Amino acid sequence: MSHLSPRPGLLGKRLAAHLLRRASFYVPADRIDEFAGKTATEAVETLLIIPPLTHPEGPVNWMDNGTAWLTTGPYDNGPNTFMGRKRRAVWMWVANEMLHDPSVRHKMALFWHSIFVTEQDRDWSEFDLFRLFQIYATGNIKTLAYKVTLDNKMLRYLNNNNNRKDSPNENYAREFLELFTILKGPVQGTGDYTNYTEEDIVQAARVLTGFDDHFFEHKDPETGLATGRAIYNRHHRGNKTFTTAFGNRTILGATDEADMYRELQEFVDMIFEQQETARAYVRRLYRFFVSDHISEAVEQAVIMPLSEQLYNDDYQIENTLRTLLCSRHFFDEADSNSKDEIIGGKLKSPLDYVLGAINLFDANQMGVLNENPEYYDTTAQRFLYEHLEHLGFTFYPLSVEGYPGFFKGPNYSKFWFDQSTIAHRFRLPYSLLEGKTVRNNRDIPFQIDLVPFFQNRFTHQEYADELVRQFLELALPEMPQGERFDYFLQKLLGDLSPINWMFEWQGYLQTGNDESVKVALTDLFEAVVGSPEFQTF
Amino acid sequence: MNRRNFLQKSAALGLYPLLGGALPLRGLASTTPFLPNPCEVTDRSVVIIFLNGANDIFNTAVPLSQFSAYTQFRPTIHLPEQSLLTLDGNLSDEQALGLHPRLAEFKNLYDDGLLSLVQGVGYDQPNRSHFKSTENWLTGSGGAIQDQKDGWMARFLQDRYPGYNGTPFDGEPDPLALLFGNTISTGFHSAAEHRLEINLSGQDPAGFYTLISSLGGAPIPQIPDTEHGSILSHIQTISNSVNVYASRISDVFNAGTNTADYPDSSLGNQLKTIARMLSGGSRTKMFMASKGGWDNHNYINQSGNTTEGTHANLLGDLSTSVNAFQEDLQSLGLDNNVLTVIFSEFGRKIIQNGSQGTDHGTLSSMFLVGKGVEGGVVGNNVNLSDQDNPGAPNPAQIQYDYRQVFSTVLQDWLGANDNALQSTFINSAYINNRPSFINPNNLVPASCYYTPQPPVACACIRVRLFLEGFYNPQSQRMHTQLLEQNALPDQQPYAAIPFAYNGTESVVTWPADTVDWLLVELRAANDLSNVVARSAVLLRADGQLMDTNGTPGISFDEVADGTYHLAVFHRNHLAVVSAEPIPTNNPSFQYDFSADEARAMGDTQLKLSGQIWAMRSGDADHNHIVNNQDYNLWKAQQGQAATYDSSDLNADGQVDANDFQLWRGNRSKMGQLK
Repeated sequence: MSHLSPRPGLLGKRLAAHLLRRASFYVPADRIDEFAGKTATEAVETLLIIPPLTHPEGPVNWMDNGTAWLTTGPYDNGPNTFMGRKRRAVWMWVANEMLHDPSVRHKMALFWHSIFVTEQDRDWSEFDLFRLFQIYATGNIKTLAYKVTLDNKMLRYLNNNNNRKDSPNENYAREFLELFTILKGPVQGTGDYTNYTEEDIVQAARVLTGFDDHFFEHKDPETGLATGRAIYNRHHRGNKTFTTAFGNRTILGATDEADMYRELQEFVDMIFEQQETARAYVRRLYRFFVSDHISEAVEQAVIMPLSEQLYNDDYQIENTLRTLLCSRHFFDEADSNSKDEIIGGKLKSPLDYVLGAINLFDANQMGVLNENPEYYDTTAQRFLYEHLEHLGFTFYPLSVEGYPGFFKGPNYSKFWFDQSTIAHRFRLPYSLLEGKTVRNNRDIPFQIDLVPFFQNRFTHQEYADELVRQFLELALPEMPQGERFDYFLQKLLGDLSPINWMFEWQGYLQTGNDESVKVALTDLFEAVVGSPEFQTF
Repeated sequence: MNRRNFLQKSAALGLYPLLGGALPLRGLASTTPFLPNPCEVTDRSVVIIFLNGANDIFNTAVPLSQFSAYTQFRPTIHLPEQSLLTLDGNLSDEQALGLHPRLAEFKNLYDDGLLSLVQGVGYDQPNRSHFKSTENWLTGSGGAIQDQKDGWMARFLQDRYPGYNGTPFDGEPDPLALLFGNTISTGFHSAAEHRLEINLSGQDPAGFYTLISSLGGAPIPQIPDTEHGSILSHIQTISNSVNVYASRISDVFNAGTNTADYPDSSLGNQLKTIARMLSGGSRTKMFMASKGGWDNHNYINQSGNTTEGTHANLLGDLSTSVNAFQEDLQSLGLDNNVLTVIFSEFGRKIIQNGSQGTDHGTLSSMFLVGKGVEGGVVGNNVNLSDQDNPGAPNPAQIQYDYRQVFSTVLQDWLGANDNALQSTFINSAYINNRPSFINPNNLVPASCYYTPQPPVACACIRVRLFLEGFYNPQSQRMHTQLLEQNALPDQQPYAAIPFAYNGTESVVTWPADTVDWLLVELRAANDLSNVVARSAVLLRADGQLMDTNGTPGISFDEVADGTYHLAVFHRNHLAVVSAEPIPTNNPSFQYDFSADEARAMGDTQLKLSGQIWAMRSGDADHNHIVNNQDYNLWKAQQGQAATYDSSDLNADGQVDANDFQLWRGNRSKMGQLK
């Protein structure tokens, strides 16, 4: 188990930053320093402590004194003009939680969000479904899958609300097997996808008949969130017999409405009793957190043992995640070369890129959102919504398959960077330096205060090479060497001598006039944030 | 480094080229990505000058027959009658105009027949907000059409060049639109999210390449052979491909020249740059320049000396800049190809306000300048006494919707047919009853209008390729005799060895212009011998590969998105392989084997035939070499009629000396797959 044994020793800055970037969106400089003095086990333990949400009440109504919105009643019946704004308010609330969450929760919530795909819907049901992902972020996948099945938005999105005994709709049943849980295996023959067959889809759809979406007021007592309902006279009452893919299991038909939930639970259990389901989740987890590539060696040394762990934990994912993030493998120390595989080996998703940069450079001037509710309806929202959209990230993936950058081979994270997104990628430094949107130069509450940032976050600023080294260590996954380091150094020096920089910095400290050091620091900042290296993590 | 340097860089930061849009464009491909060039108007361009802030048209061109009303409504800001330059003594009272004295160059352009003025232009229910009205003008909104999201210029260009995805394509190496000045670029915004324009505002085009190529910073000297390194390579490769326009912009600018003296003003410099780029070979279709400062609510001119002051200086700059531009184009020999259009988002009130200025109005006029123009005045003067409360021209006096004016430009100057106009301006009211101002010598004849081709959805690769044996350099097409003689097999013909392709492609209804079947293969980017997928497709007479339904583009089932080499086989031509790996997940990507010999991997794999590079004929036995075995096959059949026989190299139904000549021309040529 050398791949998965915990990495011994203190992390140091490089590995602390690696862990934090991969496992959260909240990576300011002081947190890297703090984690540098921890062991992997200690650090991951800290990340697994899930704090309360910043705003468990969800987005507030910025037009009405910031009253809570989506937990107090359905609000999707207002005038059309507000629908889009309210929906974006949900996303804005999500982004705010991501920005402020020091734990692994929102990386995991995003992971579930990108697996259990839906699309725009009523604003309150958008809130409800994302709440499920938060609640079960490091919790039980089987429970999550069961609850997602009964989620109103999902019931509508994949049409299970129209799935009735006389007119079955297989959409959800199919995607549940193909995309949400066990996944399609190699095609063995017509309608046989190894892990399940077309006949299993027919049977699954029968299990799912009669589950319909319902009102806001109809709550799941465990989560307090709205949930769908069972309607017995729409339900297929016969027994459902699955194929050899599921050991010819027969699930007895429900005898009444309450028994429909038993039947559904048995069906979910049956799928999760397949080892392959655990493997499917672990492979996705691995691609999401560790690497785009799964070699045969990794399959044997990492995927297999982790999926056994997940399976033995009855799909409680926390331990599996702990093992993975603590492991030598995660820190690329399972073999003799600790620099060739994992660290810097993924392309940042738009969220990692934008939210990460806001926190890394202390650029969040919005503060805590619900205390400044006007930002729900301003450029803060437009920036987070539109800039990310221009980088190829929409809050809801464009297809039920999810975000290609997370799950689609063979390119995986490379999907995040192409001709259509490059301009906005490289314009992020502009937005953060100017505090403006790229498109029309409108103010946003995200701006880096450059000189104080360099003054507060580093030491020995008067030594140019020392300052550049500290900045690169903070910003990039690997320290540039030789000629490349000199390239960044020269950006600060502007082809003048290090002595000149020393005089400039000392002059700034004495006079408080930051004009000339700001010029140099801006050049350095643009070069680093605009570099290919900064796109990786 | 100094502060100035920093400021320049900061300014530049806002000006990255917006080649890409938000989301990758899915499923947009074209039925006809290749430009028809029937009537030689593809060299033409339009330069649009936007007078941002709403020019006061009544102090620009004064209706002479209403001079007393004019002075009555503008007691302290009117121009003295004796200062006005009579535009044309032959005009009727309804049209007679006196130009502002600082428009002397406009007067000269008019006298030379190079300037046309369209009167009473606007749109129904005019909006008097600068921002909204500008947006209307640029998006084609206003009146019956409200709140268009994309620009009409983008709609026009996308119809004209369907499938355009923001990268150079054959014959059009330049960005389709270039934007100068601080104009908002709504006009080019495209709903399809692919930005059509490059914003050159405030840039030095000579250094544009340097600026853009530094987007991702200096190239990384040594990219390590690690996962990290593979991501870095990916980023650098993409960045380089995006920079394609950047070097081109610098190149055409540096290759170009100016011959006229321009005023050293913002507008003068914008026009000077445009002329220089055109002279350097730019084929950009639309340039947009702008000049601000026209929103003169206060002191439009000097008290007591109304021919001087703010407005006078603005008009003087406009007049001298446009004149220099025209002179420059003429001496560069480009004046037949460039039409200049000048507009403002609305006009101003007839009645002056209390602070020696004028407030927002309704109707205005447009100027058109160039050798293509039929000089003159179109439409009558606005009746100054017929006012909308309070004090602006009654919008009912509108004579031309602005879209009708642009429709004339698009049709008479650029050859858009009515369908193209309809799809650009949406409502037929805005494309009918167009004004005429293009002179007969430069008018695109109706027989030359092009028809827009709607993009069709396909998840496919578009490929263009010609077969030497079928190609006619005169018609620039391949013949379709096999189709006409009903000789094409309904089932794909590549089942036999050595192809041994067992696909089930078949044709029910033959698509028009089908030439023959081809077999295409994806091969691994790093291992040519690794065949990833195969498919039998049809070849169309214009070189387009299409599926068996006639939809252009080829696709493969069950292939992971990525980049692959594309191999193309024909039953008696030497197979070719793409020199570069081709992406399967970029629906608007096109690979044109006919554009360059280097498009096929290996040496001398393609043969120049007329203007294009074609696959070499002669490999009748499909063994990737043209040799005596092919000759022997020909010899055995020589003199006989043939139906779909591989030795009939030109597929004309006869195995004869013409086939021998094709074979001889390629004798001993070896294919890359040998």
